[in-house]
Amino acid sequence: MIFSNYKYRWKEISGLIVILASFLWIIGCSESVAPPKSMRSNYYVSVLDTSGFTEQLTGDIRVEGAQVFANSISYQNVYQGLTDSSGQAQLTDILPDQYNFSITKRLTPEEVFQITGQSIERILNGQVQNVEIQEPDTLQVYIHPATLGRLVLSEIYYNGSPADPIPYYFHDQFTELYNNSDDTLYLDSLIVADADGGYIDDEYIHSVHAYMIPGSGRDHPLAPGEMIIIAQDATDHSSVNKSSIDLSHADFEYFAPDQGDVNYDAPNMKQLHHKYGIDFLYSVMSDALTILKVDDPYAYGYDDHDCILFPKSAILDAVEYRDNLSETKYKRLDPSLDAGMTGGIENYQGLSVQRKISRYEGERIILMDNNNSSIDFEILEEPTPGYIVEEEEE
Amino acid sequence: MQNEVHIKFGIGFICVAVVFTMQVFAQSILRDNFSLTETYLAIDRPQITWNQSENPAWQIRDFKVNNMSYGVSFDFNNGDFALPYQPGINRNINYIAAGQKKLFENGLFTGYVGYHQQNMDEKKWVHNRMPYRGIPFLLADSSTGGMELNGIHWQLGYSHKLRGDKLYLGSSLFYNVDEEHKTVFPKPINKHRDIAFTTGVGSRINSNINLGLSATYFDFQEIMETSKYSLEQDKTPIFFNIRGLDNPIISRGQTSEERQIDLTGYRLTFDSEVYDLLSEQITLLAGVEQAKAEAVDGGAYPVPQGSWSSNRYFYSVRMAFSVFRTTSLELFSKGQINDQTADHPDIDVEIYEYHREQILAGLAWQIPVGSLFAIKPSVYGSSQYLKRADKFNGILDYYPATIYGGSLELRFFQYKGVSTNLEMGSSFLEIGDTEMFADRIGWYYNQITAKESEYYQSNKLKPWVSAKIKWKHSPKVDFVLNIQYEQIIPDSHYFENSRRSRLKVDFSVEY
Repeated sequence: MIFSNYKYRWKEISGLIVILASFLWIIGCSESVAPPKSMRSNYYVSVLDTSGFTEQLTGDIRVEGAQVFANSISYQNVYQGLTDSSGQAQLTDILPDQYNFSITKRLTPEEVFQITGQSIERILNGQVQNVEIQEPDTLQVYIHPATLGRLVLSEIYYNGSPADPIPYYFHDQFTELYNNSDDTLYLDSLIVADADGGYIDDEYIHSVHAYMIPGSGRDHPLAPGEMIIIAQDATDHSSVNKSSIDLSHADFEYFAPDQGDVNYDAPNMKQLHHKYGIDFLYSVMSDALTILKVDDPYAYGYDDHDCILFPKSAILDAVEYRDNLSETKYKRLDPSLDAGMTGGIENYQGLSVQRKISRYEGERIILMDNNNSSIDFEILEEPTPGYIVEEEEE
Repeated sequence: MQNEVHIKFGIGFICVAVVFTMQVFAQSILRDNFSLTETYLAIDRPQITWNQSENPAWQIRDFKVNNMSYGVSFDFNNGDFALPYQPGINRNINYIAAGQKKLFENGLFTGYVGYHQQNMDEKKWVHNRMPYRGIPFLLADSSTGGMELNGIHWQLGYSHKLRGDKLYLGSSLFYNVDEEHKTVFPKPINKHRDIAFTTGVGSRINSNINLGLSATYFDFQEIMETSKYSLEQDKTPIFFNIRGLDNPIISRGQTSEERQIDLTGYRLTFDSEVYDLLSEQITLLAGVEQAKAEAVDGGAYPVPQGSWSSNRYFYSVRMAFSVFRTTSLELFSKGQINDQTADHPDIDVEIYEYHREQILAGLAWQIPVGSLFAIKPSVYGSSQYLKRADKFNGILDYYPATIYGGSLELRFFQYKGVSTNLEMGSSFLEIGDTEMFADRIGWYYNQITAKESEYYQSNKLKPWVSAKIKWKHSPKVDFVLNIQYEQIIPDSHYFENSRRSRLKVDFSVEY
């Protein structure tokens, strides 16, 4: 420090200190804060039914009481609303993104009886894909009658289990089928088949694997609210990989005798088509599963890549899953079969996808079926073969 | 001759306190010298023997003798009181050689070269080197693990005196290149290539007034790569494309991923020294800085991921007085204002806003005690706030704070060639009335942003001690040892029993 010969008086120094302190106090950092701007906006969906169902009931084609689901493709958020008496639903505070919309209106047996004379439940369904939303607007969606899923895929465990100690363990995959109706259904000749990619616009699905529940017609009844398990291998997998599950009580298993597969105790599914693989393996990354019934499984032939063909019209239920849910351009199933995709999970985590519970009729569970697995399914922390877990309230 | 020191580069061990630190919302700007490299790269300006003025023109004015410095610096910090993306443990070690030599009658060449290593443990998710710099576009994967960095940086400068000690010119060039990789799957790599060029002019108006002006252009490039892994592994890493404070875009890594962030900008700095006006000496530094950055993914087929800009204004002033004949009083004040905004890559709108203001004022009083040592107590106060707003998701955080601090320094004058400085101090950050708006939030806000809020909202006590020992081994050789230790202790129910500690040791040989 350089000192001059001039000495400052203490009074002047004190004055400078006071000025400095005052300066600091006066401009002390603060700001008045208001709620932030947001790009979230409200979006409106108008639901119309030109099939005549709603008009016969209410005299108007605008649909009240329809559930509207909007699934954002990039952010995987799901927004939902209910249409009011003007047939319009409001989705509040949604982010700008591309959205897939799914709308469902449930008609009770009493309402259907008024229209058709039949006392059965019907749903009116509609989907719109890839809607770009950046600002408030209104979307018009038309819904059409659809058959309520009576037999549905209620749980698909494809993820594989964590190494404990065996890494990449996938032999514990299973499919769970559930009777979502109030009638006894017969599973004889029911086919479980996958759907290969690249044929979304075709009238057929192209299957790499197809297996059928054996029986003469009434050998395998499934009562309302009951379920069956179809395992890849019906054994206690936890005995070899501790993080896995016990499937020794599965109702059926896939058995590929000429692929080196092991035949466990459960009844075998009848092999209709098996293009490759040591078993009917579900991809741990992406796949699509269907259940269908046809008179003659071989009536529709094969494609040029040795995949067996089944008509889409025969499909009772279909679910698609993928690890990267934003990759909608690789979708295998068209929206009439599954308007969305479930999954979005990392491989070999022991997670499972289960259909959500829509409601109860007495003690019987009715599972959600909007033909949109983005909305209908949830991720479970562990597989639950043989029972349905109720989603915890947030 | 020993006093004819020639600059030699590439000789073994080196020195100085060039340190990598995780730049976070600084509790206090007391030690912030507004260094460009520290702000954007977490590289401290070397504490080397020559004058470290921002303006390279003054190097020759302050030059005394040709010299070289060698040494090693070790910096270790750890603790569970941290922001989510701060590593649990951070270890830095730096080796630097630095020197200055007179070229021609009125020219001075200065420079340093350094090799640095850094090891982090428990770094969560993000690939970005400095996730809390302000840029809201982060690339991350779902793994938490260690990071290892190796790099080389250097700076060369030239300063020249003109017009018989009235006018000074100078330039310097800083360059850094390093590579960092994560030790766990999917093992992303982070590469840096950083350049900063500064040119300055200084004028000695008269014996009492020096004025200077310098300009810096900088170009810092960060590339984050995750190479395509073997599909036989059958593992698909989850990537998060984070924009703002919530709702990242989640994707699965199927092929190689690459993100490049180019940050460029300029800075203008005014500096002055005035003697015998109001006080014995007034030192003033004031500057303005503008920077912008573009984030792009994809390599050969670039996909914009957002743009960002920053404006920063800063000042620092120190006034020195002599009082009671033998004691000296310093008044000091510092401040900065930083405004940042970010735009959405696809929609032409501003989606992020960041604002930080800090101002500090204090005084220090040096009182000699006998002929052996002096004591120097100091006190200071600071007012500051941080505001960040995610305009895409509709989230806003506001954290005002006040800091009260003080320290006591003991300076032992040189005795038998050894001079010692001991210092201890403490500061307390008290949070004011915070504001948070987050009506509709998702999993990312709850996992990350909410924890950041808890950190920012915590009152913090920061005690510290330091010691500097300088031993004049011979007329031309000095050994210097610097040790600093500090802790951050939160006063928060959320961070109960948590701490963050830092130990820094520098050893150097100067001759």
